[in-house]
Amino acid sequence: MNTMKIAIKIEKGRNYMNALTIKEMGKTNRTRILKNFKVSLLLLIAVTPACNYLDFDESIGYSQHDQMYETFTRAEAMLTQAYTYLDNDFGSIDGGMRECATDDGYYVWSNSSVRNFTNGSWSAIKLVDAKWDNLYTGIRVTNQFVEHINKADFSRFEWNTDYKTWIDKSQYWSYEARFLRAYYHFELAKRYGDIPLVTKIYDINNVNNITKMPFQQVIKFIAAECDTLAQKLPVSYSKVSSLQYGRITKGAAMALKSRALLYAASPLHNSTNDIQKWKDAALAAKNLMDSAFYSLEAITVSSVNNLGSKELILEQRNGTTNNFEKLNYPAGFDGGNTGTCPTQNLVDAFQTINGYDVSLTSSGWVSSDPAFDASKPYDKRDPRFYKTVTYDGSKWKNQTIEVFEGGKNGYPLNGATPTGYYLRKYLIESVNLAPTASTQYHYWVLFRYSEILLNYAEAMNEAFGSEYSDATYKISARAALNLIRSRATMPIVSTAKPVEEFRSIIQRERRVEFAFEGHRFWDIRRWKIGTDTQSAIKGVSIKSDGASKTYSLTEIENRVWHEKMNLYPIPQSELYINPSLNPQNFGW
Amino acid sequence: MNRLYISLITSFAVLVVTAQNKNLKSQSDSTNHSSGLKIESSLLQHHSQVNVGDALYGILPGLNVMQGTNGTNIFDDAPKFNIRGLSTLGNSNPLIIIDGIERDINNLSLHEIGSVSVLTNAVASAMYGVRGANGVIQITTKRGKTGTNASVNYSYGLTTPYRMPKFADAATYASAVNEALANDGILTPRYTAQEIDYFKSGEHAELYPNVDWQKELYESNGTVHQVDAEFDGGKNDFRYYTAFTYSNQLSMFAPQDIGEVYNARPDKLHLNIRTNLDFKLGSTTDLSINLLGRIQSQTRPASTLKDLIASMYNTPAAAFPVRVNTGAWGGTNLYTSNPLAELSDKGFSRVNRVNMLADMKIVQDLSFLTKGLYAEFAVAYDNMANHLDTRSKNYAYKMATGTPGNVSYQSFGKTTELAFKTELNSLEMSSTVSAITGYKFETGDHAFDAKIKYEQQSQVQDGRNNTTKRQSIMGIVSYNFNNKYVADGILNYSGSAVMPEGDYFNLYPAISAGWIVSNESFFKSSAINYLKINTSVGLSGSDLFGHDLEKQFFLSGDDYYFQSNNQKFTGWREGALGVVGLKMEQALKADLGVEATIFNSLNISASYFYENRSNILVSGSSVISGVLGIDVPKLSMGEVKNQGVEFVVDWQKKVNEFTLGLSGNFTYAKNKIINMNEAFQPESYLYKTGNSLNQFYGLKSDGFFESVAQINDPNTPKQLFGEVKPGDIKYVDQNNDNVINEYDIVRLGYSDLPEIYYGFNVNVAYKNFGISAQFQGVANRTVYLNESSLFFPLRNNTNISTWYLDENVRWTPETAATANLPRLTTQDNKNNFRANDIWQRDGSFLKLRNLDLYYNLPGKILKLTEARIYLRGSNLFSLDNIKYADPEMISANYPFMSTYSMGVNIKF
Repeated sequence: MNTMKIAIKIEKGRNYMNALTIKEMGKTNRTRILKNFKVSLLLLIAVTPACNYLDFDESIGYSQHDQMYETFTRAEAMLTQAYTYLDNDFGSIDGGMRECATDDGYYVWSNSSVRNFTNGSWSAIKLVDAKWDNLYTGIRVTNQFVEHINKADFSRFEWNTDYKTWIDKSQYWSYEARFLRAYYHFELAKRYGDIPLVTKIYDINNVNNITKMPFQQVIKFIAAECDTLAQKLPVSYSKVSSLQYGRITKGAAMALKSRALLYAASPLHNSTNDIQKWKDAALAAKNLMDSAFYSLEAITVSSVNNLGSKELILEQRNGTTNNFEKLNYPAGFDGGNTGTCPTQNLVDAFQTINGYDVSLTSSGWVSSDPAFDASKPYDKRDPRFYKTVTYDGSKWKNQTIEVFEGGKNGYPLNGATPTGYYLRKYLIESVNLAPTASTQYHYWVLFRYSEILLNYAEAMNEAFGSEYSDATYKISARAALNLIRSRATMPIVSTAKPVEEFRSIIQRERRVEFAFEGHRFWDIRRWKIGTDTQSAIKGVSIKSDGASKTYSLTEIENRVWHEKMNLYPIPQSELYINPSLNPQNFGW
Repeated sequence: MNRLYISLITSFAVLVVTAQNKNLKSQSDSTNHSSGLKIESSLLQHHSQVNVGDALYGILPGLNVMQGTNGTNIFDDAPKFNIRGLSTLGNSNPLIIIDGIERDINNLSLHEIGSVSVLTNAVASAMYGVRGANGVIQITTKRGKTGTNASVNYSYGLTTPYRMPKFADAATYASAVNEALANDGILTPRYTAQEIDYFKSGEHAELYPNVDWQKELYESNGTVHQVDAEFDGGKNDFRYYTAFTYSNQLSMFAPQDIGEVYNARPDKLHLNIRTNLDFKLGSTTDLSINLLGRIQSQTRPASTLKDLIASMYNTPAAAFPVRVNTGAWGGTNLYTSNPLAELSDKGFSRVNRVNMLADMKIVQDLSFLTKGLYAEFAVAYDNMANHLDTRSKNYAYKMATGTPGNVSYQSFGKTTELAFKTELNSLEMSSTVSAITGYKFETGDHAFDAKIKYEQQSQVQDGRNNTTKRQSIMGIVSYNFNNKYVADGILNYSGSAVMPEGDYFNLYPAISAGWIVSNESFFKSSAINYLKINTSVGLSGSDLFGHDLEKQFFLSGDDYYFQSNNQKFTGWREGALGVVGLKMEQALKADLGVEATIFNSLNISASYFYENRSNILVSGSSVISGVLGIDVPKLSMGEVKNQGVEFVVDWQKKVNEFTLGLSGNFTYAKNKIINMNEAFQPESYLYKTGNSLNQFYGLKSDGFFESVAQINDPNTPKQLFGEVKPGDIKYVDQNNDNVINEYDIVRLGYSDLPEIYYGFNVNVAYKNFGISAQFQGVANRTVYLNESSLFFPLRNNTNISTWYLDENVRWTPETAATANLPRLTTQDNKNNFRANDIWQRDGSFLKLRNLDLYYNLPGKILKLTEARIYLRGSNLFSLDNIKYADPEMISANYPFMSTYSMGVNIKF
């Protein structure tokens, strides 16, 4: 404290006192009091240390954005964070895979919230798969990165030996971030329809009155971004640095555009059936097909969990874990928890190897395939069946699965599958849970080439029918579909089909090709086929008398489906905070 | 700093205006602001507790003391304090002032204490500025008296658990599991009748054990020794008080001697030496120095006590034998910890704590300048260090499987060597400096005492952002008109470093006024000897929140994987946004009271108190859209209102050689959340705003499901927490949507912190005999019985207690009409095991906290001034509705103990 200042203040204080002086107060008195007063003040000053006593700073860490872009490694870590919002579906909804909310799957444990999708309790206040905040967090991270990386100046590292490597790597960073921003917007739009499009940083003062942008405009933004980014991003990082594997490529941008435009053309978002939208979608898929960056592998090569697949466009990467195996190994195995169970509905979608339909009816197995043997209903099926489902009599970890009543993986065992099937796709059989646990890398496929072909087939069929091709659209819808079937060693569709019939062929093909890969949930919505498909969930009950087995159809549950479920409800709390997000999605 | 100047000037002005009269006369501190009853050491002398807090149950009006658990070190279980209920969503710890300095009460020993008082009124709170809002417990230590006095005290006590849970024996457990499995639809019992017979008979105990784990781990009692000696004396210009305490507490845990070099039996010993000195330096200067040195050492097994006790509760009697026949520890693949091995064979952990507390005060009479003027200067320096010495190891165990006569063993775990770890666990240094200049004078009927006080305080702890620094400057004026009217005024400009730079300081004004009606000439009553009405109103603050809240930091983020070999990369992410407009939590307090003395023997007082706490930090996420994409800062928007009444009665009567004393106090405090930024709720009854803090919420039960038909009846609301079966809890559909979910949760009962808190003391003495009994009780309190095994049985392979089996009636088809608990199940059953009124109990109780029976040896035996022998007990009984467990501790923890001690106290 400055003593001078204090003295001045005292003078002021004295004037103030005079004004307040009470009448009995004599002059001498006043003087004496003032003297005392100064003495006491001096005493006080003697013990008063510096004014900045309360100023100290024990904080550590970075508190400014600029600090985060001072070095290559810190900037790279900011981008790494942007990737972490990519999600997988290794049981992402409270242990259950997303397919458990479709006719393909059933989650064995009733306390999982994945059941809320289908039991009627889903609402704007009881949210399921509540990703609103998480995806907008991802979007903020990308926006921050895009805003700051362009201002970053790394030139002072110019003489470092690794400078050139860093420059090579960092030239793509902002494009990677922009792709992720577009991808997260798509994840939001496919859930909520119209959403706020966020390309700048908001603060608490202006975020509460942000408005929604119509779905089609969001898609337009995504498609335009993908076009720009496809020009900038590399086809592969093999020429840049092997250290960059796993990052966004040109193909990923083209694939996102294909998927986004297909969704935009689909009945849910294209009520007038604007053919131009289908044509745009077909063109986006076709551009990627023409590029020949990717190709189909033989059916023997795993299409999932396989970084070496030529089909793989973009994956979400994880460390070594066995969480997915813990959730889904069949009951009866050490640590088996059953988890996601394929349904009879799905199994019925797999044809015989000869291309005939098979189904389990109340009177038993039925198929028009003359080669079908009802006592061996799982023999000679679509090869993809064996990659998707573990069934009674199949082998798992060198043991024969026994789903029949009293079998080692069947009723009445606690947690035994109620549908009669266990999951196989994405499970890594070599993982051990007990006695010593082992782990493996898991990779979730975000885009693979088969999707592009089936996107093309679907869009072409809707735009032109199954047979059309020309100089631009070089192959027909049927030809594209047959590429997928041939690869699966399934008989091709050999004749032209009417649009409607071919549509259902494509829908079935997508279902079996991408079972448990996170497509069915969205496909039934954009096709608006929920009412027809999402009610009765069926399973098989098997009894064995030692020599032979009898199969009977069981009703697992009757699900609640409303048309409103084609979109998610916007969280009620968001509408409450920001009324400009109204109206709520239809029906909620 | 400008605001500080302004405050200074204002304070001076106030001082000078009131300091107008020259007829100065020094007088003792007659201020009105130290409201609240004071407990003198004479009352505490009936207690033998090692922890000071344990002697304070129900003694002081307004001071709510509830048993607390530490979980790690059982002897660190110290009670929790609250003053006049709860007023904040944030930290509610009151300020504890020992000899004028903020200090930890656990540093003291009981007999060092001269007096304890609770400061509740607005002026007292304002005096402590940014720390005053939660109320103040003021303790002074003893000082020397002239002459030479000595006192030696020794006591020896046995501690036993007041209540201990009981778990099912192996056969009962096995039948219960079978019953539960049958309820779950699994018809093959886990245990055959033959196996249950083995459990009963004890045959083949290796395969069919029946272990009472509490018996294996506990001895019947723990012990406590205490020696203390006090010496004081001196002459006019030099007085001393010095005291020495040694205590040694031993728990009832009994580790097995496994030939290791250590013994992990939990114990604690401590040694205190205090010296308080008073000097007269010349005729106008007084100097006092207080010193306290303390060392403390306590041992526990390397596993924390809470984990150890949880494993003891959760391991069924039938799980495995203590040791298999090969001599190895028992265990299974499912039950991976053997409670006795956890206690005996995991190593130990020892905490050594050293304290040095020192303070000094000089009081200078400045009458040579002006009569009545004085100055005080005080400085304190405390430090504390905790040193942690851990030696841990693991043990191997074996599972016996097979059939009688054909037993095989499977090995688990690995025996390891003792691993050493030594660390300085915590280090704390505090310093306080204060200075006062004051001016006392009287004229005619008017008496004034005005002072300016400056204070600064710093507590530096190890780690980052743990430092607290506070600074205060205040003017205090007390006025007394002929002992009829009394008034205090305070203006405290108080700051704390937790606030952002530039916003450190706030101004806390308060006034109080009293009217001593009995001193008025018109007041003539032979019955009422004293009558006073008083009131106070003022502001105070609370800075018990973290540093740098206004700043945003970047944090280590999440992992992602790149490169051909899938390398892990860790991101950086933006931390929560800084708080905008951070404000100091602020309390507006007001009270109105009346005190009276009737027939010279009955003292009564009654008061009404009101507090409005605002600027409480509450979540901001419920008012900011998630589109923001980042953690939203907390906002200083919370508000809570708390009000209540307080009564105190004290009656003393002496007839011949018979002395009787009765005193009691009663506090009722009810709080209400005015704003907590609560998120949107679909039903009005779901809002917590408007209810009390910590209110219990849950589903209201409507009996149990009787049949599958009833469950499937479309008129029965569907319960969405999981599959329900007959015997599961049926709930009331509050919103009539025919679905039972989170939206049917309603307010149930009260909170864990009682609304009503009372205590009373009975003192009877006849000739040389005497009894002193301290009772304490609470009402309007609710507890939630959710501890696994103890109350939630069997799920996730836990245990089952006799509470479930014998004390209550569980649902079975036969008992459906009278059942008060749901069916047994081995499953998680989220329908039953959730907050609802089935698991909720009235948490009221009345406890005998302390009982002292003493006999003063007659005459001057052996030239002793006084010799007393005594029998004491604490926590001797409880009247409550839980009966099975201590109503203050329903979780798996070391039980609260009853202590029975005998001792002797000799004064020379």
